[in-house]
Amino acid sequence: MVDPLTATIMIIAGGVLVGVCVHFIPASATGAMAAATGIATGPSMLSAGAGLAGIYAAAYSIDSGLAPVIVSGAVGSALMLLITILCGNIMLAFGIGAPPVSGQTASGKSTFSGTKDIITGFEQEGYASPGTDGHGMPFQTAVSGTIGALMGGAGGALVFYAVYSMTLPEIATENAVTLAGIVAAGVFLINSVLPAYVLVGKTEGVFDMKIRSIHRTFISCLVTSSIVACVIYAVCELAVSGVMV
Amino acid sequence: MKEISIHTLFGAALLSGIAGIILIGHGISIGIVFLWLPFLSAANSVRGMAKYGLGTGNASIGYWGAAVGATSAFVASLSVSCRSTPFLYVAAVVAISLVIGLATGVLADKVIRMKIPRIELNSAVIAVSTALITAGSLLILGSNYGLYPFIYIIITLAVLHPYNASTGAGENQKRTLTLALVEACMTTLVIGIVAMLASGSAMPISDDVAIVVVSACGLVIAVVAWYRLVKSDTYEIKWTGYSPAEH
Repeated sequence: MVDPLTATIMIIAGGVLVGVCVHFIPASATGAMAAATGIATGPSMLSAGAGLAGIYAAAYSIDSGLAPVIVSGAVGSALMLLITILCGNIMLAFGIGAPPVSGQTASGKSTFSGTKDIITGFEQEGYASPGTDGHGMPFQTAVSGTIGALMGGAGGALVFYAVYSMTLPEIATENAVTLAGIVAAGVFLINSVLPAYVLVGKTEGVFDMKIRSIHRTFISCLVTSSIVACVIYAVCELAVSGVMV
Repeated sequence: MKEISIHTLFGAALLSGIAGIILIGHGISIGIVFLWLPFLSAANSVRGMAKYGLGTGNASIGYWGAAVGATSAFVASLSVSCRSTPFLYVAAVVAISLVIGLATGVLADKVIRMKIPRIELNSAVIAVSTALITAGSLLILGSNYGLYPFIYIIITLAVLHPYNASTGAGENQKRTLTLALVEACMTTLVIGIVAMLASGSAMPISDDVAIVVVSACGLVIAVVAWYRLVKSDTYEIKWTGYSPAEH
């Protein structure tokens, strides 16, 4: 268990990690029609899904200490995202015959210049169907998504563990786990929707130019998480010190 | 037709929500009907934000708003007893959700520079309205922690769905809010049924039965009203009776 002040800092750090992670996860609503690169849903919803998977994974190792909880959350979240990417790619490739290709890279508008996949070196130009902004999740995008999911899962697990530590002296263990889980999910949702305003419904992860507005997400999530953390700290301190109104 | 302003609806929702929670806190469970207005107010603000073409979907806004509201209500219940001092509890819940909702709205406006009119007001309204609904539901269902995720999800769906379902060229506030009322009644109906099941007694408690009966009556009236509005709004695209010709 950690002391309440450290737990408050952990909630703030976790909230910021959650917000920043959304920039790394490739998602696009038009991806559902194979008209853009990324998993076929809104960035916030996808990140929230990955975060919730992380919190579930973290809950299994809650008694093992802080490090296993964070690792468990991060890995659970990354696994969820990778399985989604794999299944999405299989459906796109074998269902409608669209090869995974990064639209931003193919049109030379990627963060890193050039029209090749930065990791595999595969040429992207010429593979995007006319009128679309790429389709599927190529290797570089999948790697970016995995990094994002690791960050998001770790952030969710941090918040989860912090709230669990704060509420445990007041309520029974199984109730503390439930309450910490739902509060962590709340913090996750509050922070994962803020970057969506910056991303405008679509991102390809690190390789999208929108990564340059990450500082706005950082500041917003820092302020929001700080307010939420202070409220949780104040209420839990009141509850633990026996001030039950 | 003149639309109901956010301020009017929120003012009414706030008073109605507080009255509902205090009634429920004093053992009059039927006060849950006063929580229907906060549902309408939250759905109206989701509409207010989403119709400007957000960078996120209606669903995300609903999830976000309910996350602020529910988290405020859940956290406040740790220190302020919702049963013994309902007035203090509702004050704490409203204050916490108002601060977080307003702060997020101001950040989205000033730091992220979203050019959505009144985004901070709408954020605060969604947060406070959902917080009131969550607080009322917590009072009905008791401090059964296993039901927290359930409370969160049903409120979220009722808040985000009305505008999501009505959106399009012919969307208008009256129809969206009527659908919100349908979903508010449906949600309180489900809360009543769950309260009956969770009470653990062989015979359903009369309070829970009253919630179910009133919600079911409200649901029937709201569905009929909503169906009439849908019929009157779709007259322009009614089928002519002729199959499409081949040209």
